[in-house]
Amino acid sequence: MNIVDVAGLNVSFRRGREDIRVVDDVSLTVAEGETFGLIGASGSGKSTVLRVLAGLNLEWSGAIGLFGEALTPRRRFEGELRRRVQMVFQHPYGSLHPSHSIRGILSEPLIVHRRPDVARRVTEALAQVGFGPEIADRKPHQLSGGQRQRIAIARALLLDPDLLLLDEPTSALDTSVQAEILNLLTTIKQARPITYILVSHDRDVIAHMCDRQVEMRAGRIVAAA
Amino acid sequence: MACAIFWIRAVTDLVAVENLRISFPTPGGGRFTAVDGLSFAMGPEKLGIVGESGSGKTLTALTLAGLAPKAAQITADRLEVAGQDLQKLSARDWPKFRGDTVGLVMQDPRSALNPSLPIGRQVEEALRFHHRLSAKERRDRALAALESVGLPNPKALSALYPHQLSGGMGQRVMIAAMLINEPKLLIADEPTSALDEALREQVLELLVGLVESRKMGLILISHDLVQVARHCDRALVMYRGKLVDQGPAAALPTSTNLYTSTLWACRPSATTHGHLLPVLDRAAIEASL
Amino acid sequence: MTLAHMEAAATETPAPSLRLLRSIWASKTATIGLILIALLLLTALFAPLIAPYDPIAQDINNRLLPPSATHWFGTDGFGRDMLSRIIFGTRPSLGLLALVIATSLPIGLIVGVTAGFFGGWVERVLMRITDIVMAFPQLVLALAFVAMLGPGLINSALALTLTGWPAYARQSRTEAAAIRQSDFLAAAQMAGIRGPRLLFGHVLPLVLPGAIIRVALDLGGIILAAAALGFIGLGVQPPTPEWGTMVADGTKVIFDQWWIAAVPGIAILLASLAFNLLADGLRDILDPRRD
Repeated sequence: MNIVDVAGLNVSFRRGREDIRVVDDVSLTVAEGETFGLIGASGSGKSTVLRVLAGLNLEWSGAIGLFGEALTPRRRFEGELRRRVQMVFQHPYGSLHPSHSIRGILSEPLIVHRRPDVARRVTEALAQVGFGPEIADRKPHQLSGGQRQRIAIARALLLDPDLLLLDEPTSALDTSVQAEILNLLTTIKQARPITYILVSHDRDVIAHMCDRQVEMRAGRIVAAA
Repeated sequence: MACAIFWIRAVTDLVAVENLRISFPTPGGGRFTAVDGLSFAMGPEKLGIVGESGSGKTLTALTLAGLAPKAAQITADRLEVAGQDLQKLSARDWPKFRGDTVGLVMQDPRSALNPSLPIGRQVEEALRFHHRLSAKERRDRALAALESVGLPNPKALSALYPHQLSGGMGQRVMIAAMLINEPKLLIADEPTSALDEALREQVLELLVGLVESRKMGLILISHDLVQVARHCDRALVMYRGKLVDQGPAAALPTSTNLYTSTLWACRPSATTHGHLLPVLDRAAIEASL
Repeated sequence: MTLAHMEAAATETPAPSLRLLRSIWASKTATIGLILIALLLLTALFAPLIAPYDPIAQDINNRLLPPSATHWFGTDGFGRDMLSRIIFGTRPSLGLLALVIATSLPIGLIVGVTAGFFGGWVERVLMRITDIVMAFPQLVLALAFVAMLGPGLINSALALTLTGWPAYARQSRTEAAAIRQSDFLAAAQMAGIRGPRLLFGHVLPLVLPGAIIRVALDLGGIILAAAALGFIGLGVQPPTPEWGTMVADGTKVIFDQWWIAAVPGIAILLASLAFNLLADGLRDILDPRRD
C-alpha cells in the first residue's frame, strides 16, 4: 500500500513580480513501512516537498494522496490526519520552545488531542528515546544538541504517527551524536510499524538509512534509485 | 605511533606549542578549560586537527592567529609560530603578523568579507597593510591572486560584492586574500563545511595545491575524518580540549585509539545499511584521558 | 545504561533571565540606574513616613523661604515645605508611569502579535492603523485628549497610552512575523496546537522579552512627558504635589526664589536619568558586538 502518492506537485511563491518555482512537477510514491530518502543540496526543494506533506505548506498544486485519501490544497490538516503525520526538524536549537519545560513540550500535544494518562505517556515517550523521567523538569537550553533532537523525536512519536518526516535530522550534530540518533531511529522503526521519509544533503546518511531514494535538483527530480 | 615522535623531532618547527591551556570564566563563577595541555609541533607540512564540537580545535586555531576571544585566558610553556613567541605579541603587532606570517580561512566566507566593499578592493586591502606598492601594482597582484585560485575573469569579478558570489567563489576569494601576502602558515578552519558536497573536493584540492606549491604550512581543522586522511600529512585528534591521538593522516582509519577508531567507524554509509552504527563509549574515553 | 548516560552532559547554561540579571550587575550604568529607581520607588512607597511636613499644609507666614536647616529645600509661594512636596511628587510621576506602561504595553502587544502572526489583510489593516496613530505627535495628541476629557492623573495616563502603544505594536509585529517562520512554531502546529493556545503559549513568551526591553528604554521619556503635561497644567491638579506643576509655579518667581523651580527640575532630571541609565546599560548588554 502506498502511504504517499504524489503526482505533478508544484510549489511556487511570489517574490516581487516574479513567481519562483521551488518544486517543479515532482512525482513520487512511498510504500508503507519503508524508509524513503530525498537527497539534494540546499535550495533543491526537498524540504519544501516535506513541508507540503507535513501540512505546513498549504500553497501547492498537483495531486497528493496521503493514507489513501486525496489532499486538497489550502486545506489545513485536521483530526486524524493531523495526528498521523509528524515531523522532526533540522535544528535542535530551533524546534523546542525555549520557554517551555520538557514536560510541557511533551504534554501539550497529548492535551490538545485529549489523550488520557498524560503523565504516564510522557514518561514512556522519554524512556523510548533513552531518557529517565528526571529530564522532564529541564528546559531546552539545558540540553545538548543531541539530547534536544531526541526530545524532538520523542515528541513526534507521542501521538503514534504512521508517517514520520525527517528534515535533515542530524545535519547540525557531530558525527558521533549523529550515529546515536540514527541508531535510535533504526531501533524505533524495528519496534513498531511506521514509515519514514528522510531528507538530507548527505548521501552517506541516506544510503545508510533508506530503502529507496530520489535526488532533487532545482525543484525537480533528477534521479531515482 | 612511534614514527610520529620521530617526525616531531626531525622537522624544523614552523609551529611549536607546548602545554597550551585556554580557559574561560563561567557564569557560575568558576572556570571552564576549553584546551587542556595541548602540545604539538609542525614544519612546512599539512597538519590536520580533527575533533567534534567542544574539542577545542577552533579555539586553538584562533589562538594561533591571535583571534581568541578577549575573555579567554591563555597560558603555554611555548607558543611559537615561525620562531615568534605569540605570547609576546602586543595587540598592535598582531595585524601585521597575521598578514605576513599567518593566514586564516574560516568556514563562511560571507561572514569574513566586508559586505559593503567590492571584492577586488578587499583583496587589495590585504596588500596595502603590508607592503608599499603603487595602486597599479596592488591591482595587478590582486588580479593575479584571484586568477591563481581559479576564478575566471578576475577583472569583472573584482567589481562584484560578496553577496553576489556563490559560496564556492566566496571561499576562493578568501583564500586569494589570505595567500596574497605569502604567509608561512595557513590555518583553514572547516573551510568547506558550508559548501555543497560537489564543491568541497575542488576547493580543498585548490587549497592543498597552493600550499604545496608555495611550501607553506597548512593546519586543516575539520570534523571530516575522510577529508583529513586524504589531504593531510599528519593528524591530531582532540577530544574535550585534550590531545588524544596523533600520527600520519593516512593512518587515521586504522588507529587503535578508542576515540579515533570509533569516530571513524561510526560514520554511516551504504555498507552500514540496516545495521546499528558503533557509538562512542564516552565513559571509557574519559577514563582513558 | 541509557543513551542519556552515555552521551556527555551538556555544559549547563543558566536560564536567560538569570543571565540578564547578572549582566545588569556587571554593567555599572545599569546598576546605578537600578539603584536610583529603587530609591525612587521606596520614596514613593514610604512618602508619608519620610516627609518631614505635610506637603499640602500651607503656612503663609513662612512662604518663599530659602533652603535652611528646618526646610532643606525651602518653601514655596504658599509656605509649603519643598522637600516634602518633592518626596510626595514621586507618587504621581511613578503612578503615571505605571498606568501608562500597564495599558499601552498590552494594547501594543495584542495589536502587534495579531498582525505579525496572521499576516495578510489583518496585518495590513492593523499596521495602517498603527501608522496613523504613530504619525501624530505624542504630546499634541495628549493635549487634545486632556482638553476633551479634562485634566487629572487618569486622563493624562489615558492620553499618553493612546499615543504610546504604536511603538510596541510595531516591534512585536516584527518579532511575531519572524516567529511565524520558526521551527518550534511549525512543530507546535504539527501537534495540532492552534489559536489562542498557540498565540499565548508559544508566540507571546518570545515576544515579551523584547517588548519589556523596549519599555525600559521608554521609561525615561514617559517621566518627561508626565512632567511636561504637569507643566502645562494638564496633569495632576493642585494641591497634589507634582514635579511638572511645581516647576511651572516656580517659573513665576525664578529670579528671586530660584529653588522653587530648580529643585523639582532636578528631581525630574534625576528620575529620567535613572531610567535612562538602566536603559543604556541594557542596550550595552544587548549589543551583539560585545564579547
